Amino acid sequence: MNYEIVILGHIDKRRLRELDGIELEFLPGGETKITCREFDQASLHAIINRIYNLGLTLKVVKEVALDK
Amino acid sequence: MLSPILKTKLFLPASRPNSVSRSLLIRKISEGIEQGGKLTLVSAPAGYGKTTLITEWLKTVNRECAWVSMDTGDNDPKRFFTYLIASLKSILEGFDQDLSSLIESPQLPTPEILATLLLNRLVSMDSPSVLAIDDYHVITNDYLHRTIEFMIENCPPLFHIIIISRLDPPLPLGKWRVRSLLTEVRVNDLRFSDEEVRAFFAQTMQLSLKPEHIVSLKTRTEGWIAGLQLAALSLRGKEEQGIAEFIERFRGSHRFVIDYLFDEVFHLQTDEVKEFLCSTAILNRLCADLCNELTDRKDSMNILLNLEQNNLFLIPLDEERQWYRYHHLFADFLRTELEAKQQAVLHQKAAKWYESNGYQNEAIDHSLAAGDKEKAVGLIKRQLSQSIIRGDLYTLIEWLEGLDENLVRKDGELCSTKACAHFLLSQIEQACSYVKDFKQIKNADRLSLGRVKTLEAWLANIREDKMTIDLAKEAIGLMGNQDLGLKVFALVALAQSLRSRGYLDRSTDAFKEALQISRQFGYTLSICTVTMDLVYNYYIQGDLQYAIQLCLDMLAVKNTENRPLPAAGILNIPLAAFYFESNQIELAEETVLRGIETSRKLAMHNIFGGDGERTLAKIKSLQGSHEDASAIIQNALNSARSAGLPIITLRFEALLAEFKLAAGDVQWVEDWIRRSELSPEGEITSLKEQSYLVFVRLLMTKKLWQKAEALLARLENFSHKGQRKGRLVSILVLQAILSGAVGNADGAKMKLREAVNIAAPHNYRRSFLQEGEQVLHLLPLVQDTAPEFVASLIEDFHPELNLNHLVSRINTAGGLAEPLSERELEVLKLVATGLPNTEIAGKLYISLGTVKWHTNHIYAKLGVKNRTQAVNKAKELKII
Repeated sequence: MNYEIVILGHIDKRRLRELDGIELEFLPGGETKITCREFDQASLHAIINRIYNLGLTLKVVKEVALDK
Repeated sequence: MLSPILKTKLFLPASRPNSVSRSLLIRKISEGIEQGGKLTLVSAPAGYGKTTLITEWLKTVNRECAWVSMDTGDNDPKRFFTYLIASLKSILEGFDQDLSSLIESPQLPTPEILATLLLNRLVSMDSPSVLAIDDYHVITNDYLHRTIEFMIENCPPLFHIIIISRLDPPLPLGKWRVRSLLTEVRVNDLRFSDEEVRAFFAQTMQLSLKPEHIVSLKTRTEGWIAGLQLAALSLRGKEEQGIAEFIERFRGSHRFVIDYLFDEVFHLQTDEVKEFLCSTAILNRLCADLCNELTDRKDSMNILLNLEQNNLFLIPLDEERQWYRYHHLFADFLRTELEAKQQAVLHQKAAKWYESNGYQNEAIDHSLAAGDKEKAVGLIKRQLSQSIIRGDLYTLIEWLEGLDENLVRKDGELCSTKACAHFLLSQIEQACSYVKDFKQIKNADRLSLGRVKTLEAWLANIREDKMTIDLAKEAIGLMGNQDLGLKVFALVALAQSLRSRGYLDRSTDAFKEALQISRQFGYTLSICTVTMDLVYNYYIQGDLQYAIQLCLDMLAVKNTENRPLPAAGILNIPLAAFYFESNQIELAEETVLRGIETSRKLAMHNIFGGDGERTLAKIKSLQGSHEDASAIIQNALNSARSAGLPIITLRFEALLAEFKLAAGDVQWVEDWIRRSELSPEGEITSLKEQSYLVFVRLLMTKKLWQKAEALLARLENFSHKGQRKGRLVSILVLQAILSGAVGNADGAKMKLREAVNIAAPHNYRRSFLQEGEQVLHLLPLVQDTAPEFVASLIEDFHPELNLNHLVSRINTAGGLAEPLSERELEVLKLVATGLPNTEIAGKLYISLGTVKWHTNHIYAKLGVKNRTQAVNKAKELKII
C-alpha cells in the first residue's frame, strides 16, 4: 500500500531517517507531504507514532495510488 | 534493593525557580479531587509541561506523593510492581510488607487480587496522598492497565492517582468522565495563554519583550512551552534590534517550530558544548563519569552543571545532581545531528562503561543499539543464569528478541535459555518450540543440554511419565553445580516422580537437596514450595508429628525485617491436612483457610493441585455440610478441567467417589471406576493410590472379599516397598475390617495391631475414624497395643463411650466380631416395631423373662441402656 501523510510545518528529513521508503515534499502553505511507498499497517503506525512523539501536528493520512 | 540508577525513577522532578504559576490548572486539579475525582489524567504530546505542572501542583497542596517514572522495560510486571511498591513505600512505612513474595511468584495473581492487596494497605493512610505515574504511555501490557484500572475504581477516600502520558491510556475514561471520577488536563489546557507567555518571558527568562512580539511568539508556537523556552534561549543576550529580527524570521519561516528553534539555540553554543551535546544525546540517563567516557573529556561534571544552569533541557534526576537526562524533544533533535555510524561508536562506549560499572542491563541495551551483536550475545550469556534465578524473565526474553531469531535458535545457550524463560512464564508452547529447535543443534554444551533436559523432565513429570526420573537425573548430572536455580526444578521433578513411583526415601533425599540449594540462594518462594513437598513425604512415610513440626517451624521463620515469610503461609495447606489426620478438625479448618488465601494471593493454587480445597471439602463433609463439600469439589473440577490439569481432576474425582460411596451411591462409583479405567490389576502409583482405596471400599461394600483382599495386598506391597508407613495405616485398617467380616478374628487383630503400632506414636487418627463403626468394633481387640491411643480413638468415635464399656460388652457378649445372635436379632426387630415385651414374648413363644434376658444382652452388645437407644443404635449400625 502507498500512503500520503500531511503534517504541519516543514520538517527536517533527518528527523524521520530511521524510516525507510519515504519521500518528503514541502508544500507552499507551510505543510510537509510525506509519501510512504509499500507500507504495511505496522510501518504506517510506526511513522504516525514517530510524528506524534516529535510533537508534530498531523493533518491528513490517506491511501494513494502511485506509479511503480 | 534498587540500584542508584533505578532509584532515579522514584524521584520527584525538581521544579524550576521562578517558573510561571499555572494557577488555573492547579485549581482545576485540586477541585477535581475535592469533588471526589479518583484520577487526574494529564495527556498531551511531549514538551507541553505536563510533568512540571504536576510537580508545581504538588508543591501547592499538602499531599504526600509517591512518584514513579516509567520506561519501556517496565512492561515486565515484575519490574513495574517493584517500582510501584518501592514508590508507595516512600509515603507509607512498611508498604512493601508481604508484597515482595508476590513479585517473586512465578505467576502473578489476577489484576483484581493484586490491586486489592495494594489498596488494602493504602486504606490505613490517615492523610491525603497521591500516586503519580509519569510517562505512562510506554506501558502497553494489558495486565498492568487492568491492575491500574481496578486501583482507580476502588481508590480509598484519601488517595488519588495521577497519570501523566503522551497518549490517552486504554482505561475506561468515558465511564469515569460521566461519573466525575476523572479530571483531565489536555493539550489545549496546557497551551500557555497570553498572560502566561508574558509572565514566562518576564519572570522566568527575565527578558522584557514588546507585547506584539509576545503575541507573535505565542501564535507561532501555539503556546507550546518547549517552543517558547527555546525561543527565549535564542533571544537571550540579544538587543532590541536583534530580537525584532529574530521574531520576524521565525514568524516567516515554515519550518517546524522545534526544528527551527533548536537550530537557533544549538548554533549559539560553543563548539565544545555542541560536541558534548551530540555525543551524549544517545544516553537515556547521563552521569559525569559516563559522559567523560563518551566524550574523552575529564570535566563533564562542569559542563552538565552549566547546561542545567542555562536551561538547556537537561533535567536532574536526583538531588545529588548525579544522574540527568535530556528532555525527550531535545535529545531527539541532537540525535539527528549525528550519523548512524557515529552513534554506534558512542553506544559501544556506553556499553563498555555500563559493563565495567556493574550495570549489565544497560550494557546489553547499548550493545544491541550499537548493533554489536557479538558483544550483546556475550553480555546476555553472562546474565542468563542470574536472570533465571532472579526471575527477570520478561527482560531476558526482550533481550533475546533483540537478537536475530535464527541466531537464537541455532545457539545452544541462547536457545535453551529462551526455552527456560518461556517455560518459567508458563508459556509452554513457545518453550516446546525452542526445545524442538535445540535438538537440532549439534555439539551443544553440557549446561544447555542440562537446561533442556530439566524442562523435558518437568514436562514429563506433569504427564506422570516414567521417563521423568531418567531425564531429571541426566539433567542434574549435566548441570553439575551451575544454574542451581534450574537444578532445583530438576530435583523437584525427580523427587516428585520418585515419590509417585513409590521410592519415598530417595524422593525425600532429592527434596532435601533442592531445599538446601534454595536456602543457599535465599529464594524464599522455592524454600516454601520445596518444604511443602517434603512435609508431605514425611506424612506419607509415617512421620506425621515431624511433618507438623516442620510446617510450624517454617511459619515461625522471620525475614531480615523480623516479619514472617509471606510465602510460608502456603505451608498452612499441608499443615491443615495433618491436623485433619490428627482429628483436630476446627484447627484444620482455620489453618486451611489461611493456606488457601495465601496460595490465591500468590496465584499458586493450581500449582498445589487443590490440596487445600480437598482438605476443606473433607472438613465440610465431616461437619455435615455436604452441599458445601460438593460445591468445593465441583468448582475445583471445573477449573481443573478447563485449565487442562488431569492430575488435579483425578484427585478430586477420587475424593468425590469417596463421598459418593459413603452416601451409598454405588452406581456412580462403579461408573467412575469404569471411566477412570481402574482395574484390580492396574499399576499402582501414589497418584492413583486414593482411587484404588475407594475401589477397595466398593469391592467390600459389594462383599467381593477375595477381589478386595487381593487389591489390598498389592496396595500393601506398594506401601511397604516405598516405606510409605503413613499410608499403610489406611490399608491395614481396611485389611482388618475385611478379615473381621469374613470371620478371621486373628487376622483382623494382627492387621489392626500393625496399624496402631504405626499410628499411635504419630497420632494418625482419621485413617481409623474414616472407616466408622466397622473399626470401632475391632478396636478393643488391640487395646493392649497402645491403650491410651486406642482409648482416645474410641472417645473420638463416641465421646459418651469409653474403653471400659466396650470391653465389658465383649466380655458379656463374647466378642463383637460375632454380633447379635439370630434370636437376639428377632427380638430387636420386634422391639423396633414398638411392641411391649409381653407381646414379643407371645409372638416368639417364649417367656417374658427370656425376652428380658435377650434384651439385656442386646443392650450390652450395643453398649446402650434402654429400648429407644438400642433401636437407634441398631439402625445406625444398619443391623435392622
